[in-house]
Amino acid sequence: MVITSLKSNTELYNVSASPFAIREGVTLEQFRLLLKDTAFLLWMGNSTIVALVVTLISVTASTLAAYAVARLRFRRAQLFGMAIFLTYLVPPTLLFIPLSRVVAFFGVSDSLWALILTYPTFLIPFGTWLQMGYFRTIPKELEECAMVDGATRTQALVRIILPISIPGLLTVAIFSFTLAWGHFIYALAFISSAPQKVLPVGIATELIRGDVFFWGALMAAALLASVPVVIVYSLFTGRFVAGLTAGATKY
Amino acid sequence: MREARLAYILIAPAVLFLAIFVAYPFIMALWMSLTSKRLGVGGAFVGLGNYLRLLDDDIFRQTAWNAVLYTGVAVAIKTVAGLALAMGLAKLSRGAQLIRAVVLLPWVIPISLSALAWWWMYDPLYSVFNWVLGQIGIHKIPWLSNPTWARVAIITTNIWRGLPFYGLCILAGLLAIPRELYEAAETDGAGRVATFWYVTLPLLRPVLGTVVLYSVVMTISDFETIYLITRGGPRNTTHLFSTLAYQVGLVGTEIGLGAAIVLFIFPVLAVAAFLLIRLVRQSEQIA
Amino acid sequence: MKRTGSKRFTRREFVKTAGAAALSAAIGGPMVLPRKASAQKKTVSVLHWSHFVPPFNPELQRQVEEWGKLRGVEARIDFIAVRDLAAKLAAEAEARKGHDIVETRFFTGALYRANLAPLTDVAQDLEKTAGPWLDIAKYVGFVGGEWVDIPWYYYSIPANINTDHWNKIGMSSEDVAKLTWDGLLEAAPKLQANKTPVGMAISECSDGNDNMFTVLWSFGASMADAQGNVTINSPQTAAAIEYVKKLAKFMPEDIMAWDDSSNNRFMLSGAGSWSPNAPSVWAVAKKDNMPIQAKIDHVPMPAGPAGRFRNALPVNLGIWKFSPNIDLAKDLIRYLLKKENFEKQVEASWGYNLPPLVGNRTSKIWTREKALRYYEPPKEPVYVSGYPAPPNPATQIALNLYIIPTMFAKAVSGETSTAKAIEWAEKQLKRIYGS
Repeated sequence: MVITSLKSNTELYNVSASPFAIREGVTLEQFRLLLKDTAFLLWMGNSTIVALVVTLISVTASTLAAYAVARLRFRRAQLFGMAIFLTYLVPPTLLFIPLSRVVAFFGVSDSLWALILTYPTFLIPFGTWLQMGYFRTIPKELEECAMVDGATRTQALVRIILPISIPGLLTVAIFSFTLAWGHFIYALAFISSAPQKVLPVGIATELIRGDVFFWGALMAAALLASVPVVIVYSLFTGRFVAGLTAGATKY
Repeated sequence: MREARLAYILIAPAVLFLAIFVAYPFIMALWMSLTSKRLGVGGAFVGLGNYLRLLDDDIFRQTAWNAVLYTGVAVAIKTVAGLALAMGLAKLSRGAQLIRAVVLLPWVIPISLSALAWWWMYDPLYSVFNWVLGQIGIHKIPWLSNPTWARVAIITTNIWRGLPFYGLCILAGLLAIPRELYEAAETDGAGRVATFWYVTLPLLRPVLGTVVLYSVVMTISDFETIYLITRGGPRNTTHLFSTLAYQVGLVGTEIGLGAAIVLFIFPVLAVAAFLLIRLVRQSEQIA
Repeated sequence: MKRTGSKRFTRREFVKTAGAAALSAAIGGPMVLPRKASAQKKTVSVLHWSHFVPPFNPELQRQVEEWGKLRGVEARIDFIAVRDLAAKLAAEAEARKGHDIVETRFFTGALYRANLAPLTDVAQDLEKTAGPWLDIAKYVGFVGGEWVDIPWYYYSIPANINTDHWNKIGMSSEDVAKLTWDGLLEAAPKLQANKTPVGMAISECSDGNDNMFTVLWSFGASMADAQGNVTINSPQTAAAIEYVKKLAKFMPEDIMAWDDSSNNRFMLSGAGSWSPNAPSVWAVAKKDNMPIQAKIDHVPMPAGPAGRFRNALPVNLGIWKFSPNIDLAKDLIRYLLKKENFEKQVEASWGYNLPPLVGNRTSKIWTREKALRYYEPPKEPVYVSGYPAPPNPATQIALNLYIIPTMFAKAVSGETSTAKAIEWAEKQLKRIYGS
C-alpha cells in the first residue's frame, strides 16, 4: 500500500515493474493530487466530527445501559440485555432502505446528523455487551460499601464505578471510533452533497470514476485515512487490550 | 423499586435509539419481504411467495451454498489460527504492546479501503502475488476468474481481517485461566497436549463459543469484501446473501425480493442467538 | 432527543459533551438545523456520476451555476461514483426525498417510471430546437407512450487498438477497421504469439453486457424481441457462443474476472492489442501524458454474418415526481442540452460525450482528433444493450443480473455445454420476463 502510493502513474501502469520497488523515482504526486484536487481534508474533518460525536453518544448510552443490566435488579434485565445484543445481528444492508425513510422523516437527509443518528445503531449493542462484561469484573462489594456508608445508588455509580471503568470506557470508545470512521453504507445512502461527505464515500466518488480507477491516489488515500485511527489506537493499545480482555472473559 | 426505576432511565437512551433506528426499520423490512414491493412503489401482498420463488431459483441456491462454504471455511480457519495466535501472544513478554498493536491493525483499517487494497493484490495484470510467483517460475494464478481461486481469495481477505479479533478475544480468555490449574496439571504429570485438551480448552469454551457464534453471524452477512473484490462473480460463485440482495433488491429495485434474500440469514441468527443465550447461562453458572 | 436521559454526568463527561456540541455547531452551522422549506432561495440539485475526464466536472458545475444565476435560484450538482449510483437512487426513491434531477442509465428510467415525472414536453421542445432524436434516444427514453427521462449524452464502444502491435503483424488501423469476426480470429493467435493478445470482458460487469450483446447482434441473435418474448434460444445464439469459445482461447484467462476497469489497465499497460471500450483509455493516456497515447486508436467492432454494430450507453436525466421544483428542473435540463452548452460539454469531455440529438453534433473535436475519427459519427447501426427487447423493468433487470455474459462465460469456461448454457439463460430470462 505504501509503495503504490509513492509511484508515478506511468510506472503504475507498467506491467513488468516490480510491485516492491520504485524505479522511476519516488513521487509525492499521488499525495499532492489527493490533498489539492480533492476535498480530502474536508472529508477527513467530517469523518472526525461524526466519529467523535457518535463515539460519545454510544459510549454514554451503552455504559448506562450496561450498568443497568449488569448491576441493577429489575425484572426482565436479561431480556433487555439480550434484545440489545440481538439488534447487532441485523445487517445494515437490510436496514438501510427502510432506514432512509426514517431519516427523511426526521428531516435530516443529506446532513451529518443522519449519520450521527444512525451510526450508534451498530455501535451501542456491541458496546453494551463489552461493558456488561467489564462491569461484571468489578466486585459488587465496592458499591455496597459505598451504599452502606450512606451514598445513593446513583452516587455510587458516579463516584466509584465510573472512575474505575475508565479502561472499559476507553475500549468501547476506541471500538466505536474505529467502526464509525470506516463505515460506508449509511454514509453513501444518506448523504450526497460534497461538503457533507465523509471519507470512505468521498474517496470512492473522486477516485473511482466510471471505468477509471486512480490507483495511486486510492492507495495514498487508504494510507492517510488509516492514520488517525492508527494513532488513536496505538496511544491506547494497552488499555484497549486490557479492556477487551476483561470484557470478553466475564461473559 | 427505586432501582428498577433507575434502571429504566439508564437503559432508555440505548433502547430508544435501537427501537427507532433498528427495530422499526427491521419490521418494515420484514413486511417488505412479504410483498412484491419495488422501490418507490407499493407492492401486493404475496405472503411467502418471495421465499418460495427464491428456493426455486438456481442463482439463489448457488448463493446459499457459497455462504455456507464461505462461512464454514473462514470461521474454521479463524478459530484454529486464532487459537494459535492467542497462544503465541500469551507467551510473549509483558511489554509486547507494539506487537499486539500491529496484530490488531487489519481489523482497524476501514474495510472499504482494505478490501480495495486486496483487490489490487489479486488484480489479473498487477497482482503482487502473481509477480512473486512469476519470479519463482510458477505459473500465475487466476485469482478472480476461476471460481475456486476466487473463493480462496475472498476467504483469505476475510481471515486476514477477522483474525485479530479472534486472537485478542481468545487471548483474553487464556489470560483469565488461573495459573494454579496449570500447575496442578503439571504436578499430575500431564503433557502439553493433555493439558491443552483437558484444562485449556474446556475453560476457553465460553469465550470461544461466543467469538465463534458472533463471527458466524458477521461472516455470513459480509458485504464489503465481496462487493469490492469479486462483486459476486465469476458466474455468481462468490455471491453471499447481502451482495445478491443488493443486486436484486437495490439495483434491480425488487426490494421485496431483496429483503427476503437477506432474511434467509435469519434462521442462522436465531440459532446463534439461542446458542449464545444458553452459553451465557452456562458460563454464569461456572462463574 | 438522543442524549442520555440521566442527569448524572461526571464533570468530565459533561465537558466532553459540551465541547463536542459546541464543535459541531461551530463547524457545521448550516447543517445543524434540519432543512426547512425556507423562505430563502429555492435550490435545484442534480445527481451525476463523477466523470473521469478532468475538465468535465468543473465545466458541468459552471454551467449549472450559470443557469442558477439566470433563474435566480440556487443550483447545485453532486457527484457520485458510478458504482454507487444504484444504491443512491434506491434510497432516494424510497425516502421520497433527494435530488431534483437524477442520472438514469439504460432502462433505469423504465424501472423507476412510477417515481419519475413525465418529460414529454421537454423532449418535444428539444426535438424542435435541436432535433431529431436518435433512435437509441427514443428507445430508452420513450416508455409506454411518454418520455420518462431525457437522454442527455451517450458514449459508444468502438474497439480500442494498439497500432504498434497490429503493425507488427502487418495490419494498419484501416485494415482492422474492416475486419470481420473471422478475420479477428485469424489475427488473434498471431497477436497472442507476440505476447500482445486481444481481450474482452466476459464477466459480470457493464463491459461484459455490452461486449456480448454486440457479438449477439452481429450473429443475428437477440435476447428478446420487441414484444418481450424470450428469443435467446436460437441457432444464431449458438453460433455466437461457439465463435467466442474459439476466440477466448487466444485471450488472457482472466477476462472472466474482468471488471469495467480491467481492460483499461490491459490497454494502458501496453499488454493488450485490442479491446472494446469507450475512449477512456485514450483520455487517461492523454491526461497523464503517457507515451502510449500516440499508439491508441479506435476502430469499429468486427462484422459478423448479420452485420457490423456499435454499442451505445445512454446517460439520461430524470426528475423525481416528489421534487418540489419540477418546472425549474425541466428548465435546467433544457439549458444543459442547448447547442452551445452541449458543445462546451463535449469539448470538456475531450469528445467522450456524444449527442443523442442530431442537431447537437456541432463539435469539431471528432475530426480534429485523429483517434476519434471512427468514434463519431458511426457508420454502423447503433444499439443499446438489450435491444430489441422492450424498454421495461424486465430488460433492465436482465442487464443487472448479467444473464447474457454469464451465459457466454459458462460455455467458454467449459462449465457447461453451449446448449446447456443457452437453456440456463432461457430459463432465467423467461422468469424475468414472465414476472
